[in-house]
This record gives sequence, structure tokens and C-alpha cells, in this order.
Amino acid sequence: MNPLLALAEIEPRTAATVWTYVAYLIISVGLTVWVARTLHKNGKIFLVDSFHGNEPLADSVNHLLIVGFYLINIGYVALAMKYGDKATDAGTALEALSTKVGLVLVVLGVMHFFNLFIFSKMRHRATVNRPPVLPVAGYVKVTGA
Amino acid sequence: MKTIYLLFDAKSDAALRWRAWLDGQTKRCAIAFVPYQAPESMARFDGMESFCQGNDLIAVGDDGAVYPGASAYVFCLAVLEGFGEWSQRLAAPDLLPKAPIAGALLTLNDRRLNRMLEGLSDQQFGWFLENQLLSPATSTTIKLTHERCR
Repeated sequence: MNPLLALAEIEPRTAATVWTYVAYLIISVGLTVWVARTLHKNGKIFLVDSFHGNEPLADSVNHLLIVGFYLINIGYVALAMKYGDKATDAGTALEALSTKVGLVLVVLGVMHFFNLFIFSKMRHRATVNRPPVLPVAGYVKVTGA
Repeated sequence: MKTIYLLFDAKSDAALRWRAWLDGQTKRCAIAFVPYQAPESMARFDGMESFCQGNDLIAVGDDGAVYPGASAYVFCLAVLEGFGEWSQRLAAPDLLPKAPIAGALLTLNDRRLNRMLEGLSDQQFGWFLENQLLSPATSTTIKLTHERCR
């Protein structure tokens, strides 16, 4: 039997809840993927600079950060699904959906700024630990080093 | 870089203070201290004589690159933990001549210095070094170094 038809046959209250969950999952996961891709694309330049132009290392760290980002966000989306008011009709379904999606957006925002903080920390550290460019007065031969 | 060499005039107060201060810092590579007055140690640096005149400090990298005077202070700061920002800022052409004053300030171990540095632009930092904003008790030490820089 077609699952959509099966859904239409169950009582309206349950259907509203199920549709809310489905919409919540689609919107939340979609937003997570979009933010992760934005971070992946725009964070690379910071990381390449932080690792002194070592692009393979920057790519690797970027990928690992994004994996962590997906795990935390999708984990949160999954855990948060059962919390909040249950939808009884279209009105409460929309309210429940906006609350849930709103919370996901806030979590994504916090995670996004946390990632930016990590990128800027890494870049700052790399810049500070970079050897300064100093005028060399000449060279001597060091023996017995 | 595994080791850097700091050649110093053991008759210079500023150089001795700097050497003692460096000794107490956490380093990211070893610093070997070599006084000018130790001929057998100095003999390891072939062609160094011409650089020693007029400089009480000379830093030498393990590739043999020579950084005399103000550059020596900055080169040393670059290998210390927690002084990367100092070395980056002091390496700027405008601030480099003032590095010995910064070095003298650092040897006072005043904890306010790092906080001050964070809040100052390079221009303000240069002005601060020029005008020694610390207490009168410490200014004599700095003034002496300052005179040597001129």
C-alpha cells in the first residue's frame, strides 16, 4: 500500500503530528546541509592560510570539522523531534513546526559561530607562530653544531 | 629550527638582563648562549667578527643567518611560547629599531605589558615604547637601553 495513502487514512490528529515531523526533518536536515556546505566552501581559505598553504591538510581538517558539524546538528535534530507540543490541527502543526525549526536554526547559528571561532583561533595561532620576516645581516658558518 | 645561538657581550647590562630573562622563558627551540668573551665558543662562528662591533647581541639561526642588534631581540622572541605576537609586531620596519626597548620592558616581567599590547595599534605601541609609560622606578633601566638605541 502507498504510504501516503496510508497516512491519509489515519486519524487527523495523528496525521498532523506525522506531517509536522516529516516537514521538520526535511527542513532541518536541509538547513544543516546548506550551512555545512557554506562552512566547507568558505572555511577552506582560512584553513589553507592557517596551515601555511598545506592544502591537503587544510582539506582534511575542513572535512573532519564538517563531519563533526553534521553529527552534532543531525543528532540534535533527531533528539529534539519528540520534544514540544503535539500538533492537533493545521494551526498547532505550524506552531510546533516553527518552534522546532526555530530551535534548530538557533543551534545551527551557535554551531556556525563556534566553527568561525575555531577557524579564526587557528588562523590567529598560525599567524602568531609564523617566523617574523627580519632583515638578515649576513651568513656565517656554524661549526660543531 | 632546532637551536638558535645568542651571542652576547657579557660586559653589557642590557645583554645580560636579556639573557637571564630568556633563560626563564618557555622556548619552542633551544637557545645556546655564547658570550663574546669566550673565544673558543666564538671560534665556532666563522666570520662573526665583523658583526660583533657595535652590537651587544647577535642571534644566529641554525642555517647561519645573522640577526644583529634589534633583530636579535625579535628573533629570540619568535622562538618563545606566548611572544609570537610581540615578534610579529616588532618585526615591522617602523617598530624594529625599538625592539631593544621592548626587550628591556619585557625583562621587567610586568604582567600589564601583554594586556597593553593587545589594546594598542602598531603606531600607539611605537609611541608607548618611545615614551616609557611605566613607573619612574623602572624608567632608568629602559632609558639606558633607549640611549643605546639612538
